[in-house]
Amino acid sequence: MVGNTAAAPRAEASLLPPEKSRWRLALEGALASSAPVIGALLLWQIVAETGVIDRTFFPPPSRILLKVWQMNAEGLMAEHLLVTSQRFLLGFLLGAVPGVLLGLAMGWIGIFRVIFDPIITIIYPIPRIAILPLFLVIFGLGSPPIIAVTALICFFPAVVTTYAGVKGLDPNLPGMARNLGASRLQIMTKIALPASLPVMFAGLRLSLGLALTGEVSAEFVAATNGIGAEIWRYWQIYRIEEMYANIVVVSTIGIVLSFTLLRIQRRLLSWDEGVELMR
Amino acid sequence: MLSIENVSVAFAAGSRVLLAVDRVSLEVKKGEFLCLLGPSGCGKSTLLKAIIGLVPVQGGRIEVRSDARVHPPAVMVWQEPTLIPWRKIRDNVALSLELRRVAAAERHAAAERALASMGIAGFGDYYPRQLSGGMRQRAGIARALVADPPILLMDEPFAAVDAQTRRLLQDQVLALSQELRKTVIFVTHSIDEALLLGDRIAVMSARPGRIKTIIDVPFPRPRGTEVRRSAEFQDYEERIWTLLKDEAARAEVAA
Repeated sequence: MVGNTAAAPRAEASLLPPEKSRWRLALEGALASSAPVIGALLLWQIVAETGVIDRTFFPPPSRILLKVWQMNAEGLMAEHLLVTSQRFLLGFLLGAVPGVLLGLAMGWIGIFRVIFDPIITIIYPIPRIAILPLFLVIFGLGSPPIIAVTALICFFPAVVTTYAGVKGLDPNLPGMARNLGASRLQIMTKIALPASLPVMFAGLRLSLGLALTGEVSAEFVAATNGIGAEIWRYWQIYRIEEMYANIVVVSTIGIVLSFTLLRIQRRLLSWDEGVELMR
Repeated sequence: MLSIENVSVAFAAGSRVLLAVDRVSLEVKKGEFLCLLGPSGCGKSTLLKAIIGLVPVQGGRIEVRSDARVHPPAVMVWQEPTLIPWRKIRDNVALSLELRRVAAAERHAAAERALASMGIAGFGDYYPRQLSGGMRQRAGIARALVADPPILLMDEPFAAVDAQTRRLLQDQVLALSQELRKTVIFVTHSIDEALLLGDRIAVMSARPGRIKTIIDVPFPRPRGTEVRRSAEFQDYEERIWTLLKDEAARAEVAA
């Protein structure tokens, strides 16, 4: 009995989690999420080095990274990276911005909905990359057809998700604001626009991934420079390591942009995040 | 204060036209607490929306007479509190001032006062979804108080909260209405609530909504919840139920 009463407080104390600083929690989070990735890379390294998989097709990660560094040092990388980034960002902006605007217009203004809803529904299933030859005819070779096809790829997810976001708005909110004296402009800026932000960001992130894939595909066949063209060229001359190095670089573009967008989204939509965390 | 003359509201439902409110006339005096009582779907809420111009009327006219040129003259407290989910409670409650471009410090002070008078002082920093249904509805009422209109329209504000919270909120609205002496139109389908809160009760028929009769509530003000226990209260409850019974049955068949 005596032992029991003595043990009780100690057991209680051990139930409380030890206090951790924010910094330490962040570090642990980063380690936890990067551990599987590092593990997979290590495994790849080992099986490639030991010859379990063919090093010609799957060179070890260390060699690929070394190749990236070497190619960069020799000036074989920067130009192509710049060209690809420009095409991609221009295409993304030219597609996503009008897409978001049309999505908002369709959600807010009846006539836009009536005109564009059926048009979007019909065009949406067409694979956008299939339009590339038409753009080649119109624009000739070089950056313009690639930017155009990237923009086209970005456009549709941006329209569809933004439109869905505006439609999902609580129908009473605009009436409530109007009753309190809001002008049409105030209803747009204070109710409709912020209400559409979460899905708008979801649409932009979706566009981003699709657009990079499209942009690189377009470069395969329709460009003489850019990372996509480089990947294609190194395949043709059978330089696998160089091919991998370029794949790593183009993936980095996607990862960096996706994370940037996620960070902006978190900052703007902290209320949404808070709700998610509470559940 | 507010006069409604021969007002009808109709909706297009598919190919048919649905008459929601049928030639309603009402005269609401300044400082009066009028309850609109009727079965579900009788057009009570539609009538409120017509008053604030959110649904068009088919005939008749609605006129607000107010000595002060206040905008907006009538503010709605919604059945669902209709708070903006991405705004903190404080910024929801002070919305009307923000729309009028009142300075932030003044807005916050007004919001704090309104939150305190609704018994949720200190919850200004929370987001709507972090609060219970009853607290959200209190915030919805606080938002209307900050707008400080001459006329308050309340659309079954306690329909979505549990029975105990409902009684607490009734007490609070009773006390507040007596203190502020605002003109209130309060929509409810609870006879008990209408008798407790109202000066007069306009009993409505099942759809299309008409005013069946108007009852003067005899209990003197200031009144408290103890009026519920009087024999007279129960007597009135019975009388009104007799009036409403057929309408409620008709509404149920129609639905």
